[in-house]
Amino acid sequence: MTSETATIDAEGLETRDVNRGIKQAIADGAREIHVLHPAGRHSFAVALKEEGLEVVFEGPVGWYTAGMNFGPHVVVRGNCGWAIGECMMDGRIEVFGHAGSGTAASIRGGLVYIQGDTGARAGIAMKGGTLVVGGDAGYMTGFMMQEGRIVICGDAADGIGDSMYEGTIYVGGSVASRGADAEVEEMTGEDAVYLKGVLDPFGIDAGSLDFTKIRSGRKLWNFSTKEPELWTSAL
Amino acid sequence: MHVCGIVGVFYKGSATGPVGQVMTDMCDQLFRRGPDSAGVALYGPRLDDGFVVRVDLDRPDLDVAEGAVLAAADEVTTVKDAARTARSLRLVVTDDAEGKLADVIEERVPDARVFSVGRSMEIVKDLGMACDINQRYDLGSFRGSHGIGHTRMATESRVDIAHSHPFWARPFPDISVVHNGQITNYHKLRRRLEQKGHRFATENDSEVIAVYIADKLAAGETLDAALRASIDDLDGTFAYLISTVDGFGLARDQFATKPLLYAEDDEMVVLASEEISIRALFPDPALVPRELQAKEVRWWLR
Repeated sequence: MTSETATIDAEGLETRDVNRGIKQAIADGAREIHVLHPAGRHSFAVALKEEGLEVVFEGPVGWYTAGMNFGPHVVVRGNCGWAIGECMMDGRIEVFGHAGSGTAASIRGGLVYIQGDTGARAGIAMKGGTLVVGGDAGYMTGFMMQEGRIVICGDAADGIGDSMYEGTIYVGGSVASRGADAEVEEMTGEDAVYLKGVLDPFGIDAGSLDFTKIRSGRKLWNFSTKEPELWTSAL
Repeated sequence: MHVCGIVGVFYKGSATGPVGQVMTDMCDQLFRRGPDSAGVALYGPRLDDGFVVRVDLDRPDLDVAEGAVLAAADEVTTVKDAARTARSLRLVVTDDAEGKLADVIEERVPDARVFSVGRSMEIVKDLGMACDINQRYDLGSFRGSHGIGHTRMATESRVDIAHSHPFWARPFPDISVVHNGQITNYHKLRRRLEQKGHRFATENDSEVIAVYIADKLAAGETLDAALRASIDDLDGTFAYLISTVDGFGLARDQFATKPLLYAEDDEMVVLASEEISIRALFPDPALVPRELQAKEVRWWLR
């Protein structure tokens, strides 16, 4: 390891001490920080804003990991709990395991990659950025998303894209059911180019998957007394 | 219970393990989810010729209360053994008086509450953290086939020992539940079960899950069928774990509101509301927890 690399053993440390250790390592010039024994604990590596910084968790992390970040690259070698990357402004998160519910909730930018499956409501209220799910996605993925893209390489559970305002969801496997006002659109050549570009770095052959493209039908944008059944079913 | 923690462990085949220590240690990892109280339902060696009974004595004159409980039990069954740890009285009896033993004890002895009756199951619960409960009731040496545990943050009913989890599905032996969530059609379900003759020991909404499932099992339904039916019949939010003498099952509501993970290998199954609870005891990266999906049910039986 170079002098720009730091290692923090989380075993026996309070969460605040681990996060302070990360901040101190950054202040000391570290650009690559390895955290050992995270053991599924919560709220690590949050509110970091250093571009070019890489934080690697050598094991599973808990809830709200890497939330509110603006720039860093966070790697998790294991599972992550609920709401990883919540409210991330920019940066990159890669999880080499499964994720809990609320993955990438409300992100505004950057990329979140989950190698395995995600729980319910991944990409809820996304306002930008990209979420890539290598496995299956849970219930109501993309609920009320407003911008950005979600790429699911496996199957999507019930209610995908429910009440989405904008943004695009691609599903490479089966779709159990679409949510309210989530419509299928025809795939274009531009979509294929985009998917190849975003999946190639993860070793996923976009061409081997038969993607379904889902976008908002925009019928819920404005209330209409002529379509009361639409609102009844949505609510 | 909105923000509670639930845990479980099940040893496959004929294996047993330190379920008392494992359950309380796993509960302690989730104490922030439920600092009010903690409890466990532990399944030890099965008694073919009797039942084990756990009675909570909520009064200061413990010796007097113990004597009164023994006298009450002797009216309807034969007490083979009795031992008290703190306020938890453990009896071994020849039979449960066709399901009436708990009622008889509670009718005869004021402030005595029967937490469990079963051929294998023992429920111990108290206020505070699980590690303290472990010490207070000497649970560390308890070995068994499986167990479930709970840390409670009370929202729906009183903060006291009786309203803590796990709940026994009275009067069905060996059936218990731990639950994270809120059953919003609790009163309707409870009335329906009471009309069938079932009695409830508390005002806690989670108790209805135990009786609901036990009622279905008693009617001949499989655990799988009962769990699947519960997804539609229980209204509200829930991730629950229900245990029988043979194993346990779990279910998650249609909105996947409450967390629950399970991890399994050739020897065991372990479950918890959060991975932190699993990892504290089982750090092997080969054991990979998975989050239960919406409307998903799973079960493991011997």
